[in-house]
Amino acid sequence: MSSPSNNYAVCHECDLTFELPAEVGDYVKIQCPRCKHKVITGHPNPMNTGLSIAFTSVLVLFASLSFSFLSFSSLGKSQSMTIVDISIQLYKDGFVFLSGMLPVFVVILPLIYLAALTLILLCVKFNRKTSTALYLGRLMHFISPWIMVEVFFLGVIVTLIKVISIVDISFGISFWAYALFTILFTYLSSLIDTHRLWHWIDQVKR
Amino acid sequence: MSIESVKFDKLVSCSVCHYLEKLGTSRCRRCHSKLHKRQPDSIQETMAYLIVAMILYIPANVYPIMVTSVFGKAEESTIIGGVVQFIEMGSYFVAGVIFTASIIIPVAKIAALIWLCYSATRKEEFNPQEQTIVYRLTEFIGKWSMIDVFVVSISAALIQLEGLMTIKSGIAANAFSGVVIATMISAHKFDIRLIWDKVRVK
Repeated sequence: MSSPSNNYAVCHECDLTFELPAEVGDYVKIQCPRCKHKVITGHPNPMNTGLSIAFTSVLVLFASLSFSFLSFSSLGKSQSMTIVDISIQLYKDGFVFLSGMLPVFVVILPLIYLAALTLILLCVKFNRKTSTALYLGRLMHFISPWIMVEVFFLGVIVTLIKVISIVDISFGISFWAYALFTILFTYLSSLIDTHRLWHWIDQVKR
Repeated sequence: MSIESVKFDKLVSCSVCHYLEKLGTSRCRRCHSKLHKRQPDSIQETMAYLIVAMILYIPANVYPIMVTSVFGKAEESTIIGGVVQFIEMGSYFVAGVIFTASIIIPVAKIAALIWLCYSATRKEEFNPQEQTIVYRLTEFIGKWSMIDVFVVSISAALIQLEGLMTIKSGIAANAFSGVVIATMISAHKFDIRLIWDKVRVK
């Protein structure tokens, strides 16, 4: 069970002040009484779950970059691509801004988010203090709206549906790795809410 | 503490860590970010980014978003042109996704934010619960419009058979990404608490 650090919460959307229960049951959602904004969701073991998913996500993300993503053959010619190739092709076609932005939204920002979270959780686990805790928390807050992992994966699915009538597509290891990464990262994002994260940061800040 | 809007109490809620500080403090004690009672110039910044998005939406639809070359012959297609093509080909699902993500969602977002800005500046109280739901939907849906840009980029990386068939991204991809980014920032700048402030002041 997770326990909130303050007794009162102010709803971030409607500014209502209301009392928080001392302990939140597992998977119980605490909502603002007026506008139903979700404030906390209880979880049996958020720290260990968070750490293990974060580690796995990083490994799976690196796997998704290293191998072939999609490959196809048509009329004797074959073509294989990795995720990095998407960015390279955009650059070759002259879209410098997009070729830089795509890996940022889809790989780099999630990586930074996971690294920051892992650092904070490791410090909590081993009872160490770090002076960077506040910066990590603020960093996570600022980059989190810009992470487009699920959007990218759905884009891949739509592309597949689009080209499957023209060519024979086969999925590389990276495709399944990124699919797994999408699922893990989405679950992790729902696990980490502001209240819980800053409760952890309070424990490790110097 | 009585259940009232915090604006009229002597507290400020930090936007980053949600810590409650006394009114007048410039930085949050817990996370050191700047404290604001309400986001400063919220409506103005929201409208400014919306205007950017509306301006960019024109080249995003006029210029081609994808250039398909089959046996050397280049064929440009705009967003709407692409949707029509998919319908003609019978891929109703892809046409539906592209139409929803690239036309319905950005237009709906911009319209919703303009309406929210308008109602926040009027004295009459519109239904705040409804408006909060509109705002949440708008913020959530924001990044999903990027799906079209991703589809074009992935297609371009995949289909590169010289002489047979190649796909290239079109200029509209830059403009459309700009629209999505501008609407995302615009939704982020809007302070939803402004809607609820009116509930108190009757």
